[in-house]
Amino acid sequence: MSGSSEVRAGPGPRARMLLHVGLIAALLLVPVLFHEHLFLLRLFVQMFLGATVLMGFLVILGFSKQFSLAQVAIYGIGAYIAANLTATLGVSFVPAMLISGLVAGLVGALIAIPGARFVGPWLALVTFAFAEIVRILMARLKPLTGGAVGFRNIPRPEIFGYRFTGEADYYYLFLAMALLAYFVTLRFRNSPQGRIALAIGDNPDIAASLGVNVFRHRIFAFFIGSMLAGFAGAAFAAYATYISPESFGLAHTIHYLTMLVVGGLESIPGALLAVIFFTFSHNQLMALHPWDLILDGFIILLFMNVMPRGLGGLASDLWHRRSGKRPEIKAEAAS
Amino acid sequence: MKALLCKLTAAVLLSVGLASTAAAQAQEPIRFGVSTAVSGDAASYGKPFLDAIQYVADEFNKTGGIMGRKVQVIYYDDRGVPDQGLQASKKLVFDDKVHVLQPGSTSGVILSSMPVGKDGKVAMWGYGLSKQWLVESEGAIFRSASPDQVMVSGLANFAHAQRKLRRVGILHIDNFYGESTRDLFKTSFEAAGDNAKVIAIATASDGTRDFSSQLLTLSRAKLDGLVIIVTGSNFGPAFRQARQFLGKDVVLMADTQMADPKTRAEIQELAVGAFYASSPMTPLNPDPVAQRWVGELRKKFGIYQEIMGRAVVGMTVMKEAIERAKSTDSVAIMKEVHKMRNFATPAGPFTYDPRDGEALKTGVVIEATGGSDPTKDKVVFTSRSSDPVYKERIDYTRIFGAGYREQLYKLHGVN
Amino acid sequence: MEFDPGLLANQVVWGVMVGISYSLLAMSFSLIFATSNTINFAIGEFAMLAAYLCFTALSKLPVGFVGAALVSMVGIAGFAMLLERIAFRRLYDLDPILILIGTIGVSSIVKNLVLIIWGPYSMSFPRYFPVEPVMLGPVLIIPQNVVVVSVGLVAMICFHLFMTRTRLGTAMRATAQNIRGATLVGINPRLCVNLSWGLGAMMAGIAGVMIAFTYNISVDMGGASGLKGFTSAILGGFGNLPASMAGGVVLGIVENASAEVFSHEYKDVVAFTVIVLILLFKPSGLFARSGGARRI
Repeated sequence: MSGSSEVRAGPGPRARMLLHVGLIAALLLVPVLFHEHLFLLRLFVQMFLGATVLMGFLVILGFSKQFSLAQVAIYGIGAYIAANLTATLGVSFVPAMLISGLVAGLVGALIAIPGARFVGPWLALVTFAFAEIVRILMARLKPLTGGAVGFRNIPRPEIFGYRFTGEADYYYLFLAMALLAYFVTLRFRNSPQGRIALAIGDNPDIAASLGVNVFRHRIFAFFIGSMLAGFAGAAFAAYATYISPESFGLAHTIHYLTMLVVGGLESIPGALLAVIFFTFSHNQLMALHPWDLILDGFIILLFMNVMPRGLGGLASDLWHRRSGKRPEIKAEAAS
Repeated sequence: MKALLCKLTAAVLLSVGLASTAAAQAQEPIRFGVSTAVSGDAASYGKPFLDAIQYVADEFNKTGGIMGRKVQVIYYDDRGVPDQGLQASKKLVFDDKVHVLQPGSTSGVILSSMPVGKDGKVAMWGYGLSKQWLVESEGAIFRSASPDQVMVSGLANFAHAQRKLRRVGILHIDNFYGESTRDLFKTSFEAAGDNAKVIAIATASDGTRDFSSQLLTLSRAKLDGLVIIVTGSNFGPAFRQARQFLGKDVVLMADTQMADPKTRAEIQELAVGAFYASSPMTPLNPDPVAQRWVGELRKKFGIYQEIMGRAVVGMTVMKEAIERAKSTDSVAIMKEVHKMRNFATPAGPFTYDPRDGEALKTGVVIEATGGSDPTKDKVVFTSRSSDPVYKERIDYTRIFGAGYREQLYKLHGVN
Repeated sequence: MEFDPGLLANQVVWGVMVGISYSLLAMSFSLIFATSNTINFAIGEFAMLAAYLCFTALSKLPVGFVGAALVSMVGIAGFAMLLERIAFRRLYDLDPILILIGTIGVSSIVKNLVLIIWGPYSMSFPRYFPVEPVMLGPVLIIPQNVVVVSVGLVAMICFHLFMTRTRLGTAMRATAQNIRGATLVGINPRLCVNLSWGLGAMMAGIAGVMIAFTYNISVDMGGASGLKGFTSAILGGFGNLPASMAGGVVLGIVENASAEVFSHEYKDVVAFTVIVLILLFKPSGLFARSGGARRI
């Protein structure tokens, strides 16, 4: 069993709550304080979007250790579904987002069904090729997707009569979505299903011998992770008002994988740190393309060799060393 | 007395303030924003395009800039991806506050980014080959290249009239460009009569370099000609495989891609005997304006690519329009573009047609006699058109006011 | 759609030819997996890099094609072995997912470095063989392809002989089967693993040069080739060299036959669906025993 999965390293429950409230309050104030700085708001929006997709990826690839490379493709599916619902069928934004999330989750579960039975390279191949095929279909199924040119004129969201106009509106929507993703992931991790998924990820054979229905838990994890991707896709479609197949390709998958490696495959705070860092740096480095992708590769290799459990693992190690207490005792205090 | 003194001081301060703002404005450079593919598949034309833009800007600055102000080029890499292009254009217009915007080097990107320029009230230009954006542009953008329609129908007419082809096949990629070019060729070719037909059409996924199955099928259709509409780094394999599977009796035809020296270096002597449609701005154009720019670009970059010509045309037309308007106001600039008649550019005389928004309606067909060196090719056919290229008409009302269209039509003598 | 048996025969022949390059890539995947338990997603990029190296050696060094090819083989093998030594040796105890992500990182680095060094334009080798087609009955043969495929076949046979007839090859096979056992017998597993990366990279390199002859040399060739190789390996039997070899040819045939029977544009989609169906019934691959025993 990996060290940190059972034990919550870090400050106690009250300190945690204060931290959460403080951060959320700060985030709520950002558009008020910085409403002139559209650039900054845009960056935050990208950050929240990335965080949502990454949380989903974390659940699938990180927690339940399913070799999926399909997250970005599912995110794309969510985007196209939402585009069709809002632009073609006139469905309002919130129901469209919910439907996209649901359908995306089901797609994920469908992939997991054959995938859950096999280990190793099988799922990696299937999801990798699935992602490619989804992109091909996005470019070919013109009536549904607008073809290779893309899907234009996606309407801006209208929630309870309020029509979105500026960057700040999107900021709050994306913040809410990212918080949702965060709490869902947190809840999942600490729930019985989550702990079992982690155990399965660590050692499926032992878990199975203990009577756990490995199959069902893998599918559930895939469902949750994909659903989050679907929500993110719907939000992205409404934000960009124009989507095309190129937004959902391998380069984006590589960015997310880098973030997972840097954050740590089992750490939520690590993932969030990674999202914050990489959103800002990718934006700055956009001018240096393709060096940014090369840098991603080097960062992946570096972290794997030097810090395989990522920033999250590092933080929990530091915390244990600092507090001096043995992890078991902390677990009693926390529960 | 005190009140008068106050008013005087205020007036002096105000005028000093205004004067210094004006001075600051006058020194403020004119910013040309560019979104283009510097990496990714589209970089093979996006990057030379950018290089040429920067070269032209430097040349402008050597002779005093535009209206005495320096020209500054600000660019972002959009990788040929529409949503990246959208981000880049937003940055250019709202953060960098550019005066002129080139919103993308591929049609998909331009389509998605053009609204940003319109909303941000910035004058725009581009060359991406899609009728869609011209029609929707409301007059806010001009094209710095010959329209596909003219080039491709020229090729079709040449194939029919000069080479007497009657049974042609088309191999195209399944994107917007591939499909619209296919349709353009088919319509022109079959309209030429004498039972000319496009007998077989094969599609390939955008990005694939394996055309074997399509070509094997086409090889059994007894064609006398094949049109290859494939872009980027996949053109070479498509062309080579076409020669391999079809043999030398089938005439191969292609688009401007074949004017590119890099592409020709790749297919080498296989190119001989093929024909391609192109704009007039190639090294084969004896016009002195064209020769000058081609020569300079070749000296600077070691190679001249047709895409660079489109940059030159765009920049020179924009400079002229700004100078005629004596302002960086987007409406004033575009009005000058709309009024242009016979303005000399390397691609021929730029005469704006207010009906369809096109200004360079000349296309040529070139025979690839040069093998791996396109400068040794021969122009064998020229097609010129003054008719509207599309049935849709541009609606200028929202940006330029009611009655503007009628004014323009009258000015250009069209209806 | 009318059925044209001549055309189908053509597609099958072409599929076999193309399949040989898939086989080499598949063998590369399986070899590295068998010895080091690593799924190396960068193999497509190895193939691409080798093609670029060969092209540059040909244009910059005073060697003929054979010399340039040798230079590129040595280069790519050296690169892979260096990579394994520096970046992957410490990782074998880690989560396999992390290692996989690491190879994806490598593929990104290689692809983008090639883009920066050689530029975005595609290139091709000179024409050494006639390109005009020759008809053998209903089947269309392109002389250049015959030569290229023969070279690939010879390479495959040589690798097979190396694995089975030489001491080093046998040592590598032993390492793949059982590392501890191999150590006991006096084999140096680290060396064998490192060599397997080099050898695997060479196989990929040969495939890369073959592909470059058939199509062209460009930065995107790694992605598609890698996927085909990976698919072939799984189809045949992952970790099992002879099975992977067969898997490549099967993929080539399935791909082209389905292009003919169904549609050209959806060729990849159909081929892939067929393979997924096959794997649902026989997940360890068509030619391997269930349980996926490694065999190189």
